[in-house]
Amino acid sequence: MRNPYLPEVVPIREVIEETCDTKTFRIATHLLFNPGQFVELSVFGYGEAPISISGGGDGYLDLTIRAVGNVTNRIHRMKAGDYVGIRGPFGNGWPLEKAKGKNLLIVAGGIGLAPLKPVVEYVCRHREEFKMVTLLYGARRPSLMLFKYKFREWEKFMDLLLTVDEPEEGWKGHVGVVTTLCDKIKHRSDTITLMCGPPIMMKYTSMVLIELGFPPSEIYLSLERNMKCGIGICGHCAVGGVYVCRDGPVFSLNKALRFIEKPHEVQGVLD
Amino acid sequence: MKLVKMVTIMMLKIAKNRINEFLAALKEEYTLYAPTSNGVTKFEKIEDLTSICFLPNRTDISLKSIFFPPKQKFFRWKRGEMGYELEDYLDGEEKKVIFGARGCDIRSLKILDMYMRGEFSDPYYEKRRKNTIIIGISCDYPRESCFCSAFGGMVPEDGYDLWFTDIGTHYFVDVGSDIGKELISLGFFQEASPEDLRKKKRRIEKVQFEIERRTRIDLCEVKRCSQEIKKKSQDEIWRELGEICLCCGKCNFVCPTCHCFDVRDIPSFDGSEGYRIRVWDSCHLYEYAKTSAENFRKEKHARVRYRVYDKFVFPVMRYGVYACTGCGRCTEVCPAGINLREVLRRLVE
Ligand SMILES: Cc1cc2nc3c(=O)[nH]c(=O)nc-3n(C[C@H](O)[C@H](O)[C@H](O)COP(=O)(O)OP(=O)(O)OC[C@H]3O[C@@H](n4cnc5c(N)ncnc54)[C@H](O)[C@@H]3O)c2cc1C
Ligand code: SF4
Ligand code: SF4
Ligand code: FES
Repeated sequence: MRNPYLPEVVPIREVIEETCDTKTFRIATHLLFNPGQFVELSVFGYGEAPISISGGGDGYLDLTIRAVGNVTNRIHRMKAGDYVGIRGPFGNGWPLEKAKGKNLLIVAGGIGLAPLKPVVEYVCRHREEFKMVTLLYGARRPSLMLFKYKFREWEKFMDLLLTVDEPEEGWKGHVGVVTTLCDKIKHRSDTITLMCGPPIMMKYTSMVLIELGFPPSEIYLSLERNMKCGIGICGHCAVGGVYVCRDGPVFSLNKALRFIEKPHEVQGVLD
Repeated sequence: MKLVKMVTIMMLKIAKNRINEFLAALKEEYTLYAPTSNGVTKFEKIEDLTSICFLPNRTDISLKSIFFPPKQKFFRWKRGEMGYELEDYLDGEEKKVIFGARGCDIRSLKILDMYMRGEFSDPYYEKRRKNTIIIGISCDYPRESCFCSAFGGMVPEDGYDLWFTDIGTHYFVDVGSDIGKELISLGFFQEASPEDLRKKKRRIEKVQFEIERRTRIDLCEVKRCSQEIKKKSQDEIWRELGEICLCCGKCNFVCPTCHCFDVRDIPSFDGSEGYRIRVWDSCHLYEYAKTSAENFRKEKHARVRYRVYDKFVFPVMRYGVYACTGCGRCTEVCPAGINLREVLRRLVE
């Protein structure tokens, strides 16, 4: 029996600077994953943190990490050739199969684009599998937007709706929270929505989407919880009788609304 | 299974003055754990048989620390040529006999098994838990806080290899498994009479009656209780309890079925090596559900409610089982005087 708590020790192959507080770490490993799954990242001496897989390819995985605390600050000081640990992949991932043959709406806020990037890249590779595709992405400031260097490529395959809370010099795009862009989405019916971002953003975006006629059973949210084990034992991620690490992190809005203890991400939705 | 039945039908007992011989024989082959006391009663590894305490009811500290210690090493990491070398600390595999487990102890192990040996099995728990023989014993009288009668009573349905009940000069012995049958063949047991059986039954009924008298929650209420509590998520009781709970976490630590833990790194001074460990954690603590984005149970009443729900609602929904044994430990240690039995009574009234 494999010990699920023992990480695989792997080298960082490359570090990509994304924004002032976020970097992507390309990790050398052959681990396979589904879009939306995450790993437990070990920085030895500092501990573990759950991090979404933001991309992958032949012999590597990408982890896009915002420095906010113990583990994430430490890895920001590491460079190519340094070693970290990973275990996983954990979680259910996005219900991509359900979206095939339908319209797809991808909604991301801030670092929430990281777990959705593999979906965006899948769409670029298999565009014919979907009808209309829209990526709606909001960040606090233009300089905090992730993967800007990919936008031109992505735009060829989908509608890209971008917004920022506070503009900076040179920003010609939309200003306002994500919800202010929702009426620009060209498709309503027959749409699967995949969403990840801060709790408050997911809550208000869900409300607006429902108002616009998107059914709650077709909106999927990725929830963030405190996680220690990743395998449904330590209890930390539990909410209303489900383990976000094992049963999620992706839940349909419908399901999240039925949890006995209502997740903050959906409090007030449909009330 | 057939054979086991036969032995039970045969009816057995063991003389009290032969217990030590029996335990000594077990100690030859197994590591023996039994109740001891240094002011606080708990299960400990027995070196000297005279240190065993024959208690009238359950220990202060639960059985869980044998299988799930308060602090446990996962592995040691050491910086090396190729990054880090990891040395796994899976330990505690030795064959164990637990002597003197109570009904609540045995049910708590079943509940812990459900969490720890499920879809993902916890290897550190599994290693310690497998090869464990359990010899249970009926209580002489309940503690003030006991309410096991709400969860099936003092004698568990299964989960023991042997079960002892005091009938005076002897213990009446029920056999619960094939392993139990093997223990019988060690030869310290004799046939019991129908009179012995009557004595056992009377004894159990008497204690059971006493527990039920204290509990004043009968089984039919408990069957309803999950549904009732589920309906009361907005009840004012949570605010009231939130006001008085100190969120100290003691109730979690003494609870035999609480199994939450935190994972930490303990590095050496120069950071070149260290341990990854787990330590018990508590859902009553402020930090428990905090992430970099939000604290999902910032308010005390939400945390108090969560613990009650995680015993009486969520596990019932997920596994069809109550995750409480009615051992009353949480009530006994609570510095704020929160009495779980009374909380339940209010919720199901
Ligand atoms: C399934 C899942 C996927 C995730 N994917 C990603 C991902 O792809 N990329 C990513 O960057 N993160 C991701 N996260 C979040 C990430 O796990 C946390 O940021 C991380 O655990 C923090 O660990 P740490 O040890 O660095 O912080 P800790 O030392 O544990 O400290 C975090 C604490 O620091 C405090 N804190 C300090 N600075 C800040 C700040 N600037 N803002 C808010 N709080 C602060 C907070 O109170 C927080 O509780 C994911 C989380 C989950 C559950
Ligand atoms: S022991 Fe009592 S005061 Fe402490 S956390 Fe539990 S209920 Fe609250
Ligand atoms: S919740 Fe209290 S009474 Fe129930 S098993 Fe835990 S400590 Fe015992
Ligand atoms: S992270 Fe431990 S139970 Fe989900």
